[in-house]
Amino acid sequence: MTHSEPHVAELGSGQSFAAMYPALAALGKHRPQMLADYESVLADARRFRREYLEPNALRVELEVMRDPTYVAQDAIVAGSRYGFFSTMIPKAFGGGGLSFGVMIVALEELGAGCLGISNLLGVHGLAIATVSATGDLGRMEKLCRRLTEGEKRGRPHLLSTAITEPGAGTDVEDVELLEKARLSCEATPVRGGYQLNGRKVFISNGSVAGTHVVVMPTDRKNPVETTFAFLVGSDTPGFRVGRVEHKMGQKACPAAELVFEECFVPESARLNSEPLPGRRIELVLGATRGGVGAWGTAAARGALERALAHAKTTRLGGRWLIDQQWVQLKLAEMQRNVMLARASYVDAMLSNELFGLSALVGQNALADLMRKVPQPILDSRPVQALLTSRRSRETLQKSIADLPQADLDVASSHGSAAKVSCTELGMTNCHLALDIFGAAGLRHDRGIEKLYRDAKLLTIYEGTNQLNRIEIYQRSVHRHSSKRDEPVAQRPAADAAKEVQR
Amino acid sequence: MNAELDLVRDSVRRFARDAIASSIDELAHYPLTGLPEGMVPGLKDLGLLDLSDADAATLAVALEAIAEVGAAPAGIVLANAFGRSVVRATRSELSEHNGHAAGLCAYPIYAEPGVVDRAPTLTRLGDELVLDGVAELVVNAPIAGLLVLPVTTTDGEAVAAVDARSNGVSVGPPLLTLGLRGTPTADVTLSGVRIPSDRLLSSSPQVLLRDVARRLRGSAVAISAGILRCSLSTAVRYAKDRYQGGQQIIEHQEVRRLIAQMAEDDAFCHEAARLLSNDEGPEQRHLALFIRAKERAAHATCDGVQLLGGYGYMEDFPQERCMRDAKQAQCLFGRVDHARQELTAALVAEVSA
Repeated sequence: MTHSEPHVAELGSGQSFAAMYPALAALGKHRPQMLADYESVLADARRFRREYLEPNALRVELEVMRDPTYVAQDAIVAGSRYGFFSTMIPKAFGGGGLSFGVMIVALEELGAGCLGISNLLGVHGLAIATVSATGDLGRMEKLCRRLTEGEKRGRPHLLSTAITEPGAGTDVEDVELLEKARLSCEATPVRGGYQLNGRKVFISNGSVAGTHVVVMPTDRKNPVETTFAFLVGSDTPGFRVGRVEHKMGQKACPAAELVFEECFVPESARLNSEPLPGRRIELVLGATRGGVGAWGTAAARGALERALAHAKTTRLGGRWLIDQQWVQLKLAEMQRNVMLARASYVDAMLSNELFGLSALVGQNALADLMRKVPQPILDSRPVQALLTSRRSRETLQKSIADLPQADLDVASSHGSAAKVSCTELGMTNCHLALDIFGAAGLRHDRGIEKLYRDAKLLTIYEGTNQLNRIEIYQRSVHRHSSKRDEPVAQRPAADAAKEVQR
Repeated sequence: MNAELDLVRDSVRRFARDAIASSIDELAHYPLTGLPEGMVPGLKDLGLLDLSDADAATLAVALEAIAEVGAAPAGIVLANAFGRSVVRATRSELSEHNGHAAGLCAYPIYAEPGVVDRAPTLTRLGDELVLDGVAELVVNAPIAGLLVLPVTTTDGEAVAAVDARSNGVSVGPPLLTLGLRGTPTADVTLSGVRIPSDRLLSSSPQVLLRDVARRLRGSAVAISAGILRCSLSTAVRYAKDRYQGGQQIIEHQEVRRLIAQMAEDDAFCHEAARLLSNDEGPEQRHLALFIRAKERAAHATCDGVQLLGGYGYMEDFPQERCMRDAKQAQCLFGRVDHARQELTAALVAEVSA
């Protein structure tokens, strides 16, 4: 270091405090409806946890251990009674019209009951977010109608998102890695559509989904500029489900290999958007990584809840565990971890509401307004024609393209920070809980060892925690221009402060 | 001595390569599948089921070699050795208690030695002793002939040796556990089980059990060390072969850092097992090594999973098994935090002496 260089690299200079801590920005855009939505969704999630998850989670896991192809159809049906598969679909498309951020609160509650079943329900939401990020409202409307109608009939139509390939996992989620990734999949343009070839692996819900949102390049040699999302029905000729993976945990959510062999899909199967790599993928991950953070918090909380119950009913050396100081302070540490984790994912969720995908796709004050409009009006032909018109699509796509890089950075970095922090705090609490349990915790019938196995997956999917750390570095520690985004749009002190004023 | 240990290591490694590696799936899915038929006879043929705390160094070398391939059979050997050691310490004739599986002993090796909170009760009825209650997580119970069980009496605690075929003994179904799944473990219910009074193995069980545990700490840590070795070698091979963003992932500095940390823990665990099994150093150092080694192995194997990403989480690679086994092995001879209380007590005793 030379004498002319500063000794301190200031972080966040020129940024408003609200941009550094988006919860404050949210204060300025407070919507009473959002708080009411939290309570409503949380009440549903608590009931579902009590009525279905707690009595069935261990049974379902044992079923899958005996037969990895087992699918807890009863969980899917039970979840559909609560509308979990359509809650975050816009009301104009027949759904509940709640924002993704509101659903995140439910993920914590459900995950504390069973991460596997919660994932079975939540992965569906990831696919909806991916479709939303394409801005193709026309196709989104058709898909959403199918989902909501299936749910109303008690036969939910599930979605999966197929991104990971055998030779490329994390690569596919990062533009710089994608360029050199060892891709095996390609959607080759042919007359009238595309021919899909290759294999996708570890696809959550892959063996139960009726429609797959498949991310593939049309030119494998140039994936950055040619990767798009395709909607592929599970009954499409040339498509089949391969091996169902044998996972360590989260067994209730089947992860499968998807095989595409000269699988033809028409032009209309391609979601209409600019290529996904770059800001569209980032918008999705900025939203969904906060959701994984909620699951990490769920792991931390589930571990605490189980350890507390055990400590109250178990003696060690003639004294109740709960009366021993080392146990009390471990429980306090676990509660501290839950608090930190929750703060982190709620912050990520608010970042997404204000600066990320949710802000773009109208899951905000406009959505609140829409929910007050009678459904017949929303379903009327003129309204639907307007919503799914080319103009609406172009407007939304322009919004995505125009989204300031600084906003995207806020949403992405907070999403990644929540993902890393919460999932690692979740693992920490699982270790602490097992330490308190002692021998009893090793038994499957106590549930805590299952949580330990389940929680580990959270540090891997939605980009490994290592990749997410790189994301945090590049988004909020040391910005540098890269292929992943346009030249950085500097918005000195403008961003969140102006949002608050608005 | 070193040459003898090398010989043991070589022969156990051969067995592990041949017999354990080929049945690793069966072991990993027990009790949902059966125990591989040749496993217990194979361990017996190697002489591993004749070992006790008197053979601590040999035992540690053998268990580490087993765990490098698949740790579950090491649990069988350790529980048997613990039971035999308790019996041997009371100078009972083990041969009198031969059971149906080569005189195999069962013992609850995940409990804190000398701490009896939930144990069967023993009452005297003339010359006989009567046992009632449930002994939890008794390792080897489904395959053992002799159950060595801590019990509570009206005077305090004791250890009883119970023939597994006695009237009133009911061994529950093999338990599904976090790790070491091929180590058959079950709850044992005793309903009015009568045993001769010479089956009460010690009048001061706390001292006896802690002594045995102290001599076998090196063996327990050797299991953790072997598991971590397996995870580390898998991680290095994978990182060398796997490409990401156009380069081997071993070229990523973060990957190298994680692997190096695992190697540090591996070296620590290996040396800790050796020192502990040679009974070198004072008690407090023993406990410190014992606690730290088991804990580090459990955490490092989580990194082993992380290094393989999604593949690490799948049963196709050993990483997920290593992570489960290492956390299970961390609980051998009880909670680490309970051992920490003992460590501090030992330090205070030293200062006070």
